[in-house]
This record gives sequence, structure tokens and C-alpha cells, in this order.
Amino acid sequence: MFDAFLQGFQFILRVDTYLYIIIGLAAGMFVGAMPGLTTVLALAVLLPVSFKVEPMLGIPFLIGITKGGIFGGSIPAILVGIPGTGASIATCFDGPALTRKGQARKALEMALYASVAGDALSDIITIALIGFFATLVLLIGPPEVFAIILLSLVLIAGVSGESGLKGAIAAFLGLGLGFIGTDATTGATRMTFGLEALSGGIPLIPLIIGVFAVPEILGAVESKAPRFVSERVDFSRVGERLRWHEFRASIRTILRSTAIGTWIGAVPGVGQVVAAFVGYSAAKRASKHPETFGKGDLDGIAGPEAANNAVNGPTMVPLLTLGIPGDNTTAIMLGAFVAHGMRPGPQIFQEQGPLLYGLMITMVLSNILFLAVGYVLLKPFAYAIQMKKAYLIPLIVILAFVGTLSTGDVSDLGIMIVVGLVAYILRKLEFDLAPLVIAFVLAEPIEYSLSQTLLYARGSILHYVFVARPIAGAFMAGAILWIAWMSVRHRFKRTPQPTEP
Amino acid sequence: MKRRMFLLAAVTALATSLLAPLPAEAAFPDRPITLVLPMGAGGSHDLHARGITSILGDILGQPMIVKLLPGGAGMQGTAFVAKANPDGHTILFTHNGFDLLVPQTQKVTFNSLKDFKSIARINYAQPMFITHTDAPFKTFKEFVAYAKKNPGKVNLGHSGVWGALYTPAVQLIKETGIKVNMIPHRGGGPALQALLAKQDHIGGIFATQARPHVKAGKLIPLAVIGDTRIEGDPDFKNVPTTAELGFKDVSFTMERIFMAPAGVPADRLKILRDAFEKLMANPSFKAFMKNIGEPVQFMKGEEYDKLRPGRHSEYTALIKEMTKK
Amino acid sequence: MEAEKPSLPSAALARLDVAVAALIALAGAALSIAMPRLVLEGGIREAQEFMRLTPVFFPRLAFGLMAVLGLIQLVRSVRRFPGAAPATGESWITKYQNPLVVAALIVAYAYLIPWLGFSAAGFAGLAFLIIALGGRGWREILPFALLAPLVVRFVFERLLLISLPRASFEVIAAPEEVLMQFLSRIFFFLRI
Repeated sequence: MFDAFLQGFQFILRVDTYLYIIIGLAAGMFVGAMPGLTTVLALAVLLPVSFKVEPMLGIPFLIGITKGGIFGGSIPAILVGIPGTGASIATCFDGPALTRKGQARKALEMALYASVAGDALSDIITIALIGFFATLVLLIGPPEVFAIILLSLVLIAGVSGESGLKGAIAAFLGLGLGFIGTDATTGATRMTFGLEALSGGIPLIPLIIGVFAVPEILGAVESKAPRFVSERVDFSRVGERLRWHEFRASIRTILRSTAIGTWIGAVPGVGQVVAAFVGYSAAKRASKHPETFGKGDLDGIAGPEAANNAVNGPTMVPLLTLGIPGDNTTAIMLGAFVAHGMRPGPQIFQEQGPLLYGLMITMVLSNILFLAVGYVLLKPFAYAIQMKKAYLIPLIVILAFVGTLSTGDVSDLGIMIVVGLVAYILRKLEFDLAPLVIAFVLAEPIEYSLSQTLLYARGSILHYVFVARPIAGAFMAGAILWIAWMSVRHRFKRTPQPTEP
Repeated sequence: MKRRMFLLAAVTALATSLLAPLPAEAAFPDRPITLVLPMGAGGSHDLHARGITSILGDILGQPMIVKLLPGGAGMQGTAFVAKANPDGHTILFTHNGFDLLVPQTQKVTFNSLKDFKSIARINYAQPMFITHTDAPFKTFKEFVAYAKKNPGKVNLGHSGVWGALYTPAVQLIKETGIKVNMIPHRGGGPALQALLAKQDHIGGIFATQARPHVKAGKLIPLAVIGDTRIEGDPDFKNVPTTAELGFKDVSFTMERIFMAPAGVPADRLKILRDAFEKLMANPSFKAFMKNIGEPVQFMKGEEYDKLRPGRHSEYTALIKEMTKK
Repeated sequence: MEAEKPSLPSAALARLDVAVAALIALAGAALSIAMPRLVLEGGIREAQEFMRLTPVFFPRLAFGLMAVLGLIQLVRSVRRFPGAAPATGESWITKYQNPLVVAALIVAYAYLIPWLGFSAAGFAGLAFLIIALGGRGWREILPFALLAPLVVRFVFERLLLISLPRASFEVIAAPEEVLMQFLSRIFFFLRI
């Protein structure tokens, strides 16, 4: 096995590998930065490019796209509060606040460093523990997924915004919206009101663009200020870079988020969006000054960004060791592997060891290139935010439209606008909309995993959960205990106030 | 003044140059063709499409753009093409499930048989019934016997209601009257995972996905669905078919087909159909299909159109049987 | 994004708060109760034999809880209402004039797209948006509004292969198409 490793090592000595990785990273970042364009789309479109070259060039190219894509989504999230991908939603809490303070570049750089660190560390952990993760994958079934989602929801709850009640309302609204469409368990169609556009459910991209982009656009328009960046900011400082001590303060957050992201990556069906949120809420809870979160705290960027990139490494494990893709991104990667003649599956280490090791090493090294490419691309973006709103906003509008049209047709535009207008009104009334999107995204997995669990349990649910699947039982017990502890703590901390806010 | 004149001249020149080459009768195709896939990214159709569109684009002389329209279990994308301008620039890449079966389970705005014409079938995929090594049965007949003796105890995993792995299972239930616990999964990947994790006792799968696991000795194929074995396949040529074993009604295979809206003029339809024949002979295409491990089983559009009404009524009966109570 | 205001800034918003809370409570209740009617059974019965959960359960739960919470919120908003700051000089229409105009323009732009095609609708949409947002000088606006949709269309349609809507009028669609092909040719020529 060791000489397979050595053989794989020689792959990293090729220059064209790096060239392809760089192009992949750049393409991924560009696509990620466009609200509405997903990494999946970029992968699907650029797949033929990877076909034309050999595996050692083609596959790192695609991996570069996935890495770049998640980071790219943070760029508009930080600059204008519009997440480029679902995983960047949590970055919208502190990002725009930092931009308004003129610290856009710092925020972007923190996002870059946190993303690279999270990605690199999780890649190393994955490679080192690949056997462990492979066994773990087979142990995780619907009850575990349900329990972990429940736990994540509990951890995320109450982390953003002030009004818990309005956040909860938003969450249930999002949950309800998530059920529109076809039920996966029985095939029944729900709540479509006869509209064909809704027969597949509300598509995620128009929802995200509607919920985030439209209120941001309309909100930015409210103030008569000509630019996004507050006029009181000293413009010479806008390009100021992140200082070492500022980064160092967030190292613990980055490590914590990497651990969170790596664990969530190992569980199929949970995904980057949830990882980012859990990372953010964990950072906020652990912080010595949680009140600065939401007003422009760099830790609030490091938290989600490290977590959502850390998900990347482990999701490759079921793909490589079992040939099973965990989500759309890995499904395309599987196609690429197969088309290149690689056969992911239990035998892959024996049959194609050197290639596999070479691939894994390039994955780790590509993080260094990630840093370089990101660094170069940041500067123009950080300065672009200074464009006058009169031009920047229409540009954002047209890009938002393109993003919606990329996986849909004109009726999706309608959905986006309706959702957007409603979201704007809700925002003005101080409803926090992030719970809405999370609940929306998790609606199907929750119902699905619960239904499957019940089907497997065949009626004796308690026995099934706690005896047959102890891991799930442990998680659920953990979730319940956590809720209990939090409410007890809250009761003791709360001081009586004369008027209820 | 001079600058104004110059500007005016330039704009006029540009305008005329843009309008001039409008030919009276445009050749087909005169702009990119949109290939609609009524499913999400990453499936086997997506993979096929990416390879095919680049080659087909060269054959037709215009690029081919893939448009993913998942939603409504394939109905949103299908309806989109049914309603599209029938000038031949929008076509559909789908399978017989979405074409003829699913529309009968929902309210749709199109008529499968009347609103579409086939361009070509490029191949079909035969699902297999497969089980893991610790299951209480080792052959297909043993499975049916076991299921009959233990109603509701066998977990049968599938990839989605009315999907390619679901329909044959349902056909089997109808023919044998067994009662199994149908466990839905989100796609073929999770279904395979559940089988490997031994949560499901039996499931359905396609050859390409199954191969590494059968070779590693973790999964045992029980039967191939349909009436012909997977010939020429070193790993699966010995797997009996459901027809051989006496279950004639279990016959659903997933056929990958290209469809055009019915209103497309006959000459344009012919151009499209001929392009696919040329595609089959193309060496890059053959190499691509070999690489992704898929066979080529070409059938001309006209011939496939003859098969469609039969299939349609077959599915009607099946659906009626399964949804009545 | 959230500021910690103890109460809503204006009477108009406070009224809106009450109205929205009431709407949420009502809609949630209505959806929850009517849910069985909204679930069209296209699904098979087989799955439901062993399951206690039907497709109705979760949506009903979600909307039901939303209704309950909406009711609580309604009570709170109504109690808060008298304490809202008195109306400032501006009526809410002038205050929200900008967002309203922009929202209307965006809706109009979206309607124009299937009609005029992406580029032409883009030109109109962008031009009006820029003017509404305070951009001045047709020398700056026109080129931007003209070029941006074309560039965007080119990059996304030809390079990233995402199909974008065509105009329903041949007169507009054909030149757009020709322009795209022209740009493709230049681009590929330069790439060599």
C-alpha cells in the first residue's frame, strides 16, 4: 500500500494538474458568486471539458470547481447580503454589516482563510480516517439522519435575531412551504392549487433569491445613499487587509467549525447549509461577546465559512468507497469518475491505488492554490462594491433573473418575485427569515427520514429506535436533554422586564 | 458635428449589418437547440446528455444546450417541451416512465401520446433484483417463497414511487400477490446504501452500479428484469431473467428516449432523426458510451412510436391495480 | 440586519404588524384544516398500510403550529400598538417611494422577458431601473443598459450553456440571435 502512495505522489509533480485546478477554482468561484447559479450546474456544464483530458487532470479540475463554488457564494453574501449559494446564508448575518463599516476586504479575506482552512483540514482528516468513515456510512440510516437533523435544529434555534416568536413563525412557514409539491414517500401531490409551476414544489433557487436578494435590493433602495458602503467610511481604508491578530482570534472558531462540518459531511442528506448554520451558532454561543454577532464580527464569518467547506471532504467517502453519491455534486463526480474509467467501490484501493492516492494528495494541495486564486480574485470584488447603487442594483437584478432562469423557466421568476415581496414585508416587520429557509430546506428530509424510520420500525417505534438503532437513540436523547438544559438556563438568566419587547 | 455624423453612420451600418443576413427561409437548425431533461443533475440521463450533446451539436451544426427542469416527478420538464414552440429547437430527453406512466398518476396539461413524437431510443437499462449476502434467501424463487410465508416482513427498497426500480417491484406484487414492506429512498444511491447497510433485504439496481459490489462479494443478483439476459456482460450474463423464471408480467425496463413536440414539421423531425442515426455511427460517441459502461440499443423514432400505445395501456392497468382500495 | 428597537418605528408599521399577524393566524388555520382537500392522492396505498403518517400529517402540523404562534403574535402586536411612535411628517408612501417604484419595475421587467426576449427586456428594464435609482446622463445609461444584457446573455448562454428566453417577436429575436453568433465567432477566434 505504501508504494501505491509513493506512486501517487509523483502525480503532484505535474504542472498541468495545477493549471487545471486553478481554472477549476476560478470557474467555481465565479459561478458561486452569481446568486442562483449552483456549483452543481457549473459541474454539469464543465463536465465535458473534463472528459477530454485524462483523469489526473479532469478530476482535480472538477474538485476545484466544488471548492471554489462554496467560497464564491460568500462573496455576494458579504458584499450585498445575497447568498450566492445556500451554504452562504449564514454568512449574511455579519457580512453585510462588515461591508457597511468599510471592512469588506477583511471580511472576504476571513471567509477565504476560514474556507481554505476548513477544507484542508477536513481533507486531511478524511484521507487519514477513510476506513473509519466508510464503516460509519453504513451505520447511518434514516433514524440517525432524523435524529441528527433534529439535533441540528435544536442547536440552531434561537441563534439569530431577537424575536424568538417571529423566528419560530418563519420556521413553520418555511416548513409548510417545503411540503408543497410531490410527496416523496407516497407520490401524492400537495398544495399545488392547480398551478403547474408548483407541481415540483417551490424550487430552492428562486426561494433563496427571493428571500434574500429582493429584500436586500428594496432595502438598499430605501436609503437615498448613493452607495452600499456608508459614506462616513474612510475610503482609503476600504481595501484594508485582514491582520494576523484578527485571524488568530478566530482560530478556535475555525477548528470547531471544521469539526462540525466534518461530522455533518459524514451524514448523508444534511448538507452544507445546515453545517454553516450550526457553525455560526456554535461560534456565537462560545464567544465571549455574543452581542457583537450580527453587527459585524469577523468570528461570525469564520464560523459558517469553515464549516461549510469542511463538509467537502467526507462527502467524497461514500462516493469513493461505495460508489454511492451523497448529493447532486457527488453524483456528477461519480459520472466523471466512471467516464474516466475509474471504478469507485470497495475494490478501488486494490485496483486503482496509485491513481486514488494521487487524487487525494492533489485534493489537499489544491487548497494552497485555493488560497492563491481566492486572494487574487478578492480585490476586484472588494472594490466593485463601491460602484454606484444606481448601476449595481440593476446589475444584481439581471443576474438574479439569470440565476433563476438557469434551472427553470419564466414561471420561476414569478415565484421569485412573489416570495421576494412577501419577504420584504416580513423583514420590515422584523421577522427573521433565515429560519424560514432552513426549515424549507429540511422539510423534506425530516418527513422523509421519519417516514422511512416508521416503515422500518413496522409499528414498534420505540423498540426500533432505542434498541435496534442505539446511535439514533443516543442523538435523540441528546437533543431532548439539550432542549431541557437550554430552557432551564434561560429561565435562570432572564431578568423580569417591565415591558415585553 | 463631425463626430455626430460618424456616430450616426456607424449605428446605421451596424443596424443594416444585423438585419441584412436575415434569410427568407431559415435552414434548420438555425440556432442552438435546447435539450430538456426533466430531472435533476447527476443522474444517468445527465451523464448521457453531456457526452451526447457535444457530438450531436457538431452533427447538426448548432450547439445543443442542456436545460435541467426537475420537478413534479418529471412532469414539469415534460410539460415545458409539450408547450414549447414546435419549430424543432426544443426537444426532450426522458424515459418511458416519465413519458407514459407518471402522466397517468397526476393531473397533467399534456397528452402523452398525442403531444409527442419520438426521435430515437438510444438504449435501455434493465434493472435487477438484488440482495445482500446475509439475506434469508439466495435465489429469486426463494425470495418469493419467503415473502409469501412472511407477509410484511421483507423490506424492499426502491428509488422513488413509480421510478425505474419501483415499477418492476409493483409488477411483481401484482403478479404474485406477496406483501412486502416498500421502503422509498431518494434515488438509486441511497437505495443501494440501504441495501449494503443491510437495512433492506432486497432492492433493485442497475448493472453499472452493482458491478463493484457483486465483484467484492457483498451483493448477490437474483434476477434481471425483462425477457433477455444481459448478454456479453462478464459479471451478469448468468443471471436469469424474470421471464425465464416464470414471472412474465415483471417486464419494466427504463428506455432512454428523445422526444419532440408533435407539432414539429415533418422535414425537421426527419433531420433530427437522421442526426441520431449518424450519432450511432460516430466513433467518439461509441467510445463515450463504452467509457461510461452503457450499451447502445438504438431504435428509430418511427418504430418506437409504434410501441408507445401498447405500453401506455399496460401502465394504465398497472396503475389502476395499485391505486385501488 | 436586525436592530434592537423596543417597538416598531411608526404607526403604519405597527398596523401592518397586526394585519400580518392576523393573516398568518388565519392562513395557518385555514391551511391546516383544509389540508386533506389540498392533498391530491396520486400516491399508492401500499405505503400507507404500515405508516401512521399520511401525506397530510406534517403540513397540517406545520401550518397548525404556525396558526397558533400567529395568534400569540397577534395578541402581542395589538398590545404593542398604542405604544408605537406617532406618525412622522412623511406619509408612508413618500417614505417607501423608492422601494415601491423599484418593486414595480422589477415586476414589469419580469413580464417583459417572455415578450421581448432577454436582451430587449433587459435593455428596457435596466434603463428604467437606473433612472429610477438616480442615475443621470444618457451617455452613461444607454451603453450600460444596452451592453450589460448582451454581455450577460453571451456569457451565460454561449459559455455556460444556460438557455435564456427568446423574444416572441421574430423582429427582435432574430437580430439578437445574429449578434450572439457574431460574438461567438469573435470569441473563438480570439481564443485560438
